[in-house]
Amino acid sequence: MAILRLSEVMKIKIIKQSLAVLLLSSLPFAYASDDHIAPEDFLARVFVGELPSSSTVWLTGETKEIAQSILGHAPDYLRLRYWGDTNRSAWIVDEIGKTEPITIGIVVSKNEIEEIKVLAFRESRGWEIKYDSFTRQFSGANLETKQQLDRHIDGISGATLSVKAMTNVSRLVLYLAESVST
Amino acid sequence: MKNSNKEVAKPGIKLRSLLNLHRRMGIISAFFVIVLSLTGLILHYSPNLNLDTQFIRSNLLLSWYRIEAPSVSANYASGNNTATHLADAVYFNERRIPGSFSELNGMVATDFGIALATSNQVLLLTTEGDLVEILGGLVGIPSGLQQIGTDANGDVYLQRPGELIRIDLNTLEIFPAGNGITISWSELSQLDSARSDILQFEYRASLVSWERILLDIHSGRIFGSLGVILVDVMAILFLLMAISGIWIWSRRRP
Repeated sequence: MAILRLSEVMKIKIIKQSLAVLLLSSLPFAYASDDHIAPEDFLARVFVGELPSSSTVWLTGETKEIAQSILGHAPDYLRLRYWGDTNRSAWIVDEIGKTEPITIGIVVSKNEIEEIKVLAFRESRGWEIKYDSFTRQFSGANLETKQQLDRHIDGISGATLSVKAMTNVSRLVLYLAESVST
Repeated sequence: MKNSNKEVAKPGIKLRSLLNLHRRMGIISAFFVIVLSLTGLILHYSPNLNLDTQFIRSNLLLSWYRIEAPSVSANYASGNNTATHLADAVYFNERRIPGSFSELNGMVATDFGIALATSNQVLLLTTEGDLVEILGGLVGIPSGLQQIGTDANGDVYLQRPGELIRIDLNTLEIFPAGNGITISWSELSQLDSARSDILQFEYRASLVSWERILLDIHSGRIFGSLGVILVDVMAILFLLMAISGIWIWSRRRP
């Protein structure tokens, strides 16, 4: 009888633990769609203390052509703004994933990606690119010939276009950071 | 061997009626199998075929989707150029500016090009309508902008509640404006009906992609909830056909 009671208690415990695990594992999905990071907060975190002045790079002539080949379409803007200097700079870029723009913040240090972060994701699918487990792949990435990253970025099933947008933006920013530093 | 062949040639009454039912279900569902297979195949290659970025321009289809033309909420003119806001879009002449904008509060021509003001952004355009940059809070543009205007020197001013500021579009420095300056504010103007019709159509024609149409055909949603029910019925029919097909096959095996 005592053994039976013990097994029932065990069963209830296991069910409770399973429910807790299920609930916890569903949390990232529940918060996935609306956790925007304000660009101001991103810059404040990147540049502790006073925010450095901003500069711009024009996407005209050859730069525009290369930007177009990187993005796969003509850029929507003629001028892109960055904060910092040629050693370390932060860029905020909007790029369409499927139909909506994804706002991406990138920190480039000595022509390598120091950090990449999704600041605002507005698409209904593909939000998995926000997770550190994905963005970590870009840390230390730099450009090889033909504006390709020096590494392969593993895709995410169901987030192909978001992954493509993020990869292209990282290539564009590395190219522009390199062009302003030379 | 011969006996077993005879058994196959003469199926029982149950098997015969099931065969008839299976055949009829096959004929009824054939059309749906073709449509679902074709739309499914095309949808698989939708990004490669750019179906998600190509939009329906057919009035008939747009009307089928009950997409109505939004009315023009604001229009500003400067020389021969117009800036128009409707729904969440801003058009410079007939060219849509990339992005989503909840309002438009003015347009001025500057040495730099064209500057448009929303409530919290200044949009810089070339005179051809290419977007140069959208200036927002990150570069010090305050929120609550109500008007944009220029003085006799071509300097750009922004009006917000209780505050008048001057902005240098080259350095992006913002100064409090002094007193006694005569500013020519951008004022609302009437858009002629022909241009208004064009913009309203352009806006409607930017809402439904070919991919959306194919998805709706595939799911039956193009015919509303009845279409979805019909596709559901067909899905059940496919299941029944698969089950009856296996059953017939197993009964007719020698």
